[in-house]
Amino acid sequence: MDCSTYREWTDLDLEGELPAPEAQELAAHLEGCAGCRRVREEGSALLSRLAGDRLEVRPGFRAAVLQALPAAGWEAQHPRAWLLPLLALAAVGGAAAALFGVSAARLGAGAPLPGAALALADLLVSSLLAGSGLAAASWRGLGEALGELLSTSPSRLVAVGVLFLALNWGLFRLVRRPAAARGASASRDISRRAAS
Amino acid sequence: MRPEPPVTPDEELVRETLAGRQESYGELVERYQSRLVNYLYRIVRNSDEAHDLAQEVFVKVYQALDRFDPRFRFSTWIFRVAQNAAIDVVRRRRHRMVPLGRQDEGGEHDRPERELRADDPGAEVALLGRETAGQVQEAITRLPWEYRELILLRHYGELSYDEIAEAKRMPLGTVKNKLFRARQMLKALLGGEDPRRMAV
Repeated sequence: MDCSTYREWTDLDLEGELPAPEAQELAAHLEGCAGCRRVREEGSALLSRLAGDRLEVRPGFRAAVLQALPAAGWEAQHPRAWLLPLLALAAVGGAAAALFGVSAARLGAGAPLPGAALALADLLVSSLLAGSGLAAASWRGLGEALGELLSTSPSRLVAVGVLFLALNWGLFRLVRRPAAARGASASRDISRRAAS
Repeated sequence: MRPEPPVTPDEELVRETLAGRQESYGELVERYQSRLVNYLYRIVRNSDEAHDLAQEVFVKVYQALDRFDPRFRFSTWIFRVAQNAAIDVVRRRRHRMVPLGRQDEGGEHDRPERELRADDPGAEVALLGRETAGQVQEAITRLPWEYRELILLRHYGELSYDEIAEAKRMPLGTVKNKLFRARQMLKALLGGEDPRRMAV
């Protein structure tokens, strides 16, 4: 084998990429070849120069990156993102179950299930009407309109529910979007501040 | 040169991050920040820009974390994103007017010479160190891109040969051969020779 192959091996050996059998053969060759030893020294010196040429990372860089991370799309799929809505749902469900229990207790043992459900629905409508009455006392026009909506037909009640959910969704989007945008735009400022 | 093998694999940290543990992403940032900043610095040649770009890369990778394919390595993915981001910056820069002053200002490596006082015993050492770093940087810049990118990935990105082969979608043998030739060219450049004779 000629020296050009051994010099390629030398390069790999300096990088720790030469398999052991070849490394042994190379070592034996280097003992008797001054030219290849010189090439090895030059290669070693070059690697030292490359390794020594380093830029220090700014202090606080990691913290700045973490602070600048915006809300990623995949975060919404995470169970943690659903925790609050689930808790709210559980609370509402719990309240409904409690109301159902109260209604069932009032009807007494042996009452049919549809009767209990109707009693529960009556109770809910009564609560809402009482709420609208309170609203009417403080803001008469709105309260009366709401009271009328709730007392006339079930389809209007559904419409009010949909409107309520849509408004909440819109509010949720408005609150989330500026937070994400703030995170992205602040990233450079934070990074510079951390450096200074 | 090669970093110690991490206790927790990168891919596990990605899984933990996706499960809602943001500190795991902090661990990934810690692992890659120096390698990424140094790699980007050799391409954009400005310390502030390299830091800003590294931060953008971390943010981009975070946002796309759910699209990470665990069959590949995180290291090769993040460096692919970094390389694309750096190339975009260089391309944009080519379309802008080039100022007449020095381009490399503001970074720790870019401090002007006037900060070094002649009577400061460390001044000569610092100047010589910077000169050497400048020579190496200049030599790397003069390499043809196909060799330069491998040198940057290996020596500043600190990727292994296997990782470079995966990142560049090249056979391992080609990576070994090109890196050998690239270092031969670097030696020639630092010794004042013309590397174009060796690039063929």
